[in-house]
Parts: sequence; structure tokens; C-alpha cells
Amino acid sequence: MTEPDRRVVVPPRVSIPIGPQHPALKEPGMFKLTVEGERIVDAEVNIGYNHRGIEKIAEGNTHLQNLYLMARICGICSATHNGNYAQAVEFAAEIEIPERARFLRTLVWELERIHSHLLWLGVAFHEVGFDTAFMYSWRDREVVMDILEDISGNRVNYDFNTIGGVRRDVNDALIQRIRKGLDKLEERTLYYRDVAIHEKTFWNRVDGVGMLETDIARSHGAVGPTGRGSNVPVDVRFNDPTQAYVNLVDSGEFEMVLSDRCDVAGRTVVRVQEVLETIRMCRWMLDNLPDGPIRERVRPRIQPNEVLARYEAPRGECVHYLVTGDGEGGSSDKPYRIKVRAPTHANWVSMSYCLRGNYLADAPIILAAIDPCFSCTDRVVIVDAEDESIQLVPLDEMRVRANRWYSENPRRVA
Amino acid sequence: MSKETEPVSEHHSAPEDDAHKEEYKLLKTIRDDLGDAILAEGTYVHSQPRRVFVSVVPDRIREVVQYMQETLDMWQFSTLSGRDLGDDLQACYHFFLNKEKIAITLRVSVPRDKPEYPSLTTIVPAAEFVENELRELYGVIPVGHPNVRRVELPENWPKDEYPMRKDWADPRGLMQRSKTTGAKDKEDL
Repeated sequence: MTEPDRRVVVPPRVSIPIGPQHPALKEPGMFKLTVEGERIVDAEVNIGYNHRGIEKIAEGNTHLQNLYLMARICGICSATHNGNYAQAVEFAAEIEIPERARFLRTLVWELERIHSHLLWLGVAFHEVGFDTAFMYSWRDREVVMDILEDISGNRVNYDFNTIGGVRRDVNDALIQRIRKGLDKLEERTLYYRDVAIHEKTFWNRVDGVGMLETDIARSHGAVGPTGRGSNVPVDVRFNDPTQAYVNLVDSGEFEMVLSDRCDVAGRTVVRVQEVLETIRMCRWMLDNLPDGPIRERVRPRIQPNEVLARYEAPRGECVHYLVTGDGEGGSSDKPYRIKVRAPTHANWVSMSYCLRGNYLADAPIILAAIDPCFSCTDRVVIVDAEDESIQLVPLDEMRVRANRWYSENPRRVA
Repeated sequence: MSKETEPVSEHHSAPEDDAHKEEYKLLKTIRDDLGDAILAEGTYVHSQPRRVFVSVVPDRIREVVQYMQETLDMWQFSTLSGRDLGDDLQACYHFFLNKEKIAITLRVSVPRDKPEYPSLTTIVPAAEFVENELRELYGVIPVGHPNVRRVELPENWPKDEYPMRKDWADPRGLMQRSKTTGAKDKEDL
């Protein structure tokens, strides 16, 4: 029953590279989306632009130098890597740090989480075109940035931790200022929660977008608010507590924030609720802040040991696997091997699943929903319009071509 | 002190007391059920709370992980670390058991002249990126990886150079040209 001149029109599959420059966020990463009409049918994630080789550099540095190197892995969660490395070295040296230092370290970690989540909320509002809320939330983020500056001396890259404790103490006047700031932040966060849930311009853009089912999130290792937004109970603060989280969990006043929505809306709700939970945690820590010294002296040479330090960064689980010693059984002031797994790296694998089946216009908010942080520019994509070929050109090649073009085309004098 | 002469092991195993009861129970279960797939060298309970390290025969890693997934409900995969041990290269898979709340590291040591072991990506999809990373930084080949491609290094990186190996000689002087070359000698400061 075939009609000879009947044609089925299949929309052509077009491959669209998003990035490597400015893919939703202002950092390098490339997403190759294959679209059929408006639907994304396949997605490929390319990372590794500007791989800085920090693990290799770290092997030649002393532990104390590495603290500052690790803080610069990421500009947003710098206390994460800095603090996690410090605790890894402390585990390896098998020393206990003073109680007050543990509380102060955790306080800065939690304040950083507020700052990171408010930043993400602003980016999410911006990606869906709701720029008023974006400006508002970034204005209020200044409050927590000021608190952090007050405590550590820096707005970003706090370098607050050191091996054996923390570098600065807080006094009563500062605690009063932190409390005042937290009150203001709580009031504003409650407002953003209402905006995110009741404002149709935002909610309709994220409701049911970027679905990541619970079992896919589990098997593909989604972490942080991406995992918890898909109802996967991954939160190192509660599962594997260290520092003052032990006291926080023992107090029984706090619990893990989970959402079973599995979409971008779920991830938003988890983040906003987490800010409120974190503000309560900060208040609890200030109420129960112990007295005492803030640091313990540690010998620079650390015995051979292998430790796995885990911490819940704002974006998810951050793992530092540290092997100390000189590799032959002697102690050394340098790490033998340090492996850093930043949380975004774990979320890339599930990203292509999130993107499939969605509309192209939703791609920016889906990409931004995992709060990507590329701790990682060295290539460009050249798309040839005639034969539709896509070519990746490395920096060296670009430089050779540029030099050749300039030598062939001497500068014209106007 | 005899510290300079007496080598200290990097494996600090915990005493079998109440604080590490759960960890020893887990290790005993694994040892009883899997028998000779587990090597004695490098298998221990770490003195840090909630850390177990298990050394596995390379050819049987898939079997061990499948057993762990079925009987112990191990689903959370953290990351994969490569290590250079001199004659051997090592791959350490860091998992986390959510029910027991124990971080377990399964590791395989492969000889330097034939660094191959079966890939886990088909049963642990989360390992896709990190196994490719291990291949390019250490030259350890997970056999049977479904999607082999460059992840971290540039496309024009030479094939037989593995920068994270300890004997990588830096033939193009990349570390020297870099502004962050690590700790400087005392005379240069």
C-alpha cells in the first residue's frame, strides 16, 4: 500500500556547539548538542579547557604552600578546597585540632555555602530572563560577602584555614555583626523562596525541565543539590561528618534537605531551603562557640599515611585523596600524591541525560542548574558552513596561523 | 631517632576496638564471601573513622563491584585516583556505602609494562570520565571502556606521555616555562 510519491519529512539533525566560551556561565566548557527541530536528542560534554595540572604542581610544593594553591582551584568555593586539604593533612598527621578552630572552620564553610547558593539563585533568575530578581539576590549576597571579609580579611579566596587550625579569631563585636547580617539574610532568603515558588515567570520555566530520575542520578553519581533535588540522600555533612558537623548532627536539630521533584525546580527548592538551614546552623555554632586556642602547631614533616578527606561543598561532595610521606617510608613535608575531585566533575556524567528530550531554549538553565564551576582555554571550534565540518583547533595552531597571516598581510598604514 | 632508617608503612590500620566495629564487620563479610579475589597486601581498616581500603585482584574487579552492588547496595561512586608505585601503577576506586556510612576504596595494582584491567564503566556509569582521565594521565588502560576519548589533556598531546607518572621527564620544559613550578630551591629565593 505504498504510495510512490509520498515523502516523509524528517527534520534534519543539526549539531550545535555551545561554548567553549560563555556556555551559560562565564567559564570554558563545551556542550555539543544535537537537535531535531527544537528538541535536543543528544548531548556531549567536553571539558578540559585549561587543565591546569594542579595535582602535578602540588606534588612539588610543601603542604603549607599547597593550602594557598588549593584555595585557588575555585574562586567561589575556595574555603572548600583550602579547608578540606588542611583537614586531610591533619588526618594524616593524626592530630586533633582545638574545638574552637573546628567551629570557626565550619562557620566559614557554611557562610560560603550561603554566598554560593545566593550566587546560583541569581544566575538561575538571570538564565530564565528574570533579571530583577537576579539584581536583588546579588545585592543581598553582598551581606554575606561582607561578613566573610570581616572574619577572614578577604571577600574571596579567604585562606582562612591552616594546618592545625584557623588563622584568625573572632571577637564578641564581630559575632554581633555576624548575627545582624544573618537576620537580614534570613529575611531576604524567605522572600526569594516565595519568589521562586510563587512567581509564575520563574516557576513555569523550571517546572519539569531537565528531569533527572532518582535511579539515573544514583548510578551516574550526581552529587550535591543536583542529587538531593532528585531525592538521592547524598550529603557528607550528615553521612560522614567531620569538624563541627559532628556536633551539629549530634544536636539533632538539623536534617538533610531533599526534594523528590527531580527537575530544575527541585534543585532550586533544595538550594533555597539549604540557605535557611545553613543560617540556622551558623546561629547554632555562634551560640555554642567554645573558648580556647584557635590553632595547634604541627610539625611540617608528615608521616607516611593515606587518607580520604571528604567535605560537602556548596555544589556537592569534594574529595581529597592524600598520600603523604616520600614514597619510601620516610616522612616528608610534601605530598606524595594528591587527588582532588571537585563536585562539578561528578555532575558532568549525568548532564547529557538531563539535556536529552528538552527544548534548546531550556539548555542554558539546565546547564546552569548543576551550578557548574569549571576549575579549568586553549582551543576554538571552527564550523565550516559549506561542508558542515567541525574542527577543534589548538592554541599553538592558532598562533602559527595568526603569525602566518600577519607576515603575509603586512599592516596597512592608514 | 631511627625515623630516617626505619621505613614507616603508609597503611595505618586501626585497632580492633568498639570504635571500628562496623568497619571490621564489613571487611570480614567481604573477605568471607570473596575469598581469594581480595589480596592481603593493602587491605585494612584505616585508623581514621569510617574508612576501609581493599586491594583486589585486577581481573576480578568487576566481580567484586557487582557483588558489592548486589549484596551491600553500594551505589555512590566518588572518584578514581591513579597512583604510581614504581614497578606498579594503581587505580583506586572510592565508593561510599550509604547504609553503613563507610567510605570503601577498592584498588587494583597493575604492572607498569602491561597496565591493563577490566573497565567498570558499564556497571558504574559514573566512572566514564574518570577512567578516561586515568588513561591519559597515568597510561593505565581500563579494557572495555565504551567511550574512549580525550577528557583533560589537549588533542595534540603526544601519545606515549603520561604526565602524572613520577618518571615523566617533562621533555618540552612545560613545568619550567610555567610560572607556578612548585617549591623553589633555597638558593633561588
